[in-house]
Amino acid sequence: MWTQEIIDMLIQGIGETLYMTIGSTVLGYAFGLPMGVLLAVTDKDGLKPNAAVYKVMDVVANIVRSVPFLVLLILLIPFTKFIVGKSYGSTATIVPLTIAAIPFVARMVESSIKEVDAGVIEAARSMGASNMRIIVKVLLVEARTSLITGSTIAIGTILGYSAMAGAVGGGGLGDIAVRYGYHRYQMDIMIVTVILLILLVQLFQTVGMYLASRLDKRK
Amino acid sequence: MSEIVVENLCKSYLSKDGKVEALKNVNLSVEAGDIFGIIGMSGAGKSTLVRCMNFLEVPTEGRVLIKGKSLSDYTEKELRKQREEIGMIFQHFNLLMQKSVLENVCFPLYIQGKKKKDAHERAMELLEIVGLTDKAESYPAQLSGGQKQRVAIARALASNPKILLCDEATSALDPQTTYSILELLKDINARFGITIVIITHQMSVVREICRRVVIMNEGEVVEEGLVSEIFSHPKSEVAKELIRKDTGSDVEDGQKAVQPVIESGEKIRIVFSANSAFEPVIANLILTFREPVNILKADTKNVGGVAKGEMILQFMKDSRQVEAMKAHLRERGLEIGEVD
Repeated sequence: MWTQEIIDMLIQGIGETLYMTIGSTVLGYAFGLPMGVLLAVTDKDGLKPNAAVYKVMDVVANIVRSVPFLVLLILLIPFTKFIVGKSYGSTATIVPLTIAAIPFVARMVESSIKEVDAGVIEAARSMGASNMRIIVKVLLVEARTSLITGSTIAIGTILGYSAMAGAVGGGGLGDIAVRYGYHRYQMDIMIVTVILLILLVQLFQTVGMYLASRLDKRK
Repeated sequence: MSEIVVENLCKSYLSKDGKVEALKNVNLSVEAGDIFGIIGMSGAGKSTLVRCMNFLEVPTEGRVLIKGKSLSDYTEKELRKQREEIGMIFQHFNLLMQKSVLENVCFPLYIQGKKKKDAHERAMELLEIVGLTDKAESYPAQLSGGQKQRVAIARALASNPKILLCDEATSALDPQTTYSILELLKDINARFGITIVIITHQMSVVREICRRVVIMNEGEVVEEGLVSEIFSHPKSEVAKELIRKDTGSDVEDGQKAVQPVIESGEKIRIVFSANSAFEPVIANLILTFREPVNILKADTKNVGGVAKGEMILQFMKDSRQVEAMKAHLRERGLEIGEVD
């Protein structure tokens, strides 16, 4: 089975999976991080409670998270076409992956920020810090470890979603596993791709945990 | 002019069980340069009161005047500026755990727009005041409670405040550390003339450091006056209760507050251990030798019918019976030690 062709295909699969996962995680955080901060800040015990803003984002996040990714992928085809000009391929898959990642990331960020000790926030207020300064210099700094841990969970979840990219010709390891294992009964190739996926998740998890513990000054 | 004036202050919250009145018509004034205590049992409203002094909590009614200006007249931005004049320290220190000691002290300096280099310089001066220059690069998690509070004090002083609010600042510390933190606060008050407001439930803290005190109960001020007066003539039940609870062992040199009646006689420390019988040893000692002894400190507990703990006794000046009295005590199974 180990023809050059298959090896090339697997290498390309790894590349596509990494491209989709990392690309949509980065974009997911670009939108999800501010959204998570806003959720934490506008909640009733937050820095600047605002029931209307909180409720709108809360509902939007829940709606997106309720739609199964495979369905979202198909539902978003017109939108994807509008953004990247076509609805198939790895780049096109990044659009629905990012849309799915944003509310997920926002929830992770929200819960990390809510863990920050209220006393530290109060101390910053007593020193005359503005809300913006508290967000940037207190909340995001004190929640750093939890945010990094959250991002390793997010990246693992997005990697899992990317396996469904085959449905729109996005490629990647998951696509190979489905095509060879399910449609052609080539179990050996499917097992290899699964092992590669496990290794990738392990890699992200290990790096994430290392960074989180390296940057944690609480011990 | 008074540094802080609180006028008809009321604060109520809406909770699940209805309206909670945390403060009911509180009036007080704090003179510039004073060390002012606010004492009460937990739930008396003292933490709410101190938070109204920098508007971390906005009162429902009444006014808070700092140097004659009402805090409610300030805009949000002016209020933040005003807070730089009012330092605050807390029971649980509230340091940034992910930042070094130096960066923690720099935090308020950055708020004031100081450059990194100037901020570091100033922060090192402050760490010198609190005696922690060698810990500048450490992180809070590596410090003891007392050291964390010192960092918090340095941080609170960074913006050159006129007022320092201390919210149960020594409640999480052991007696020795409490004592050293109170000494530091006294020193800061004397050196920089900063007005200090101390919130506490420990009478020993008030006794050690405050000049004036208000006693709070259920959101109201029940007694107010000079600490020395309240100690000698407590009027309210709460004051009496708080003084009764003050055993003198909360602060290390509690003995210092007791004025010896017998002049400069020899002092001994006697330790009640397991084999001391439940006999009125001291009373019998006095009856046997027909000579008074002064009990400077007593800290004994009845453990299973046996008195355990220690007492510090002082004999009369020029007493010739000291050795005989010591022997008498030793015979009754007490250990005798020196007092420095």
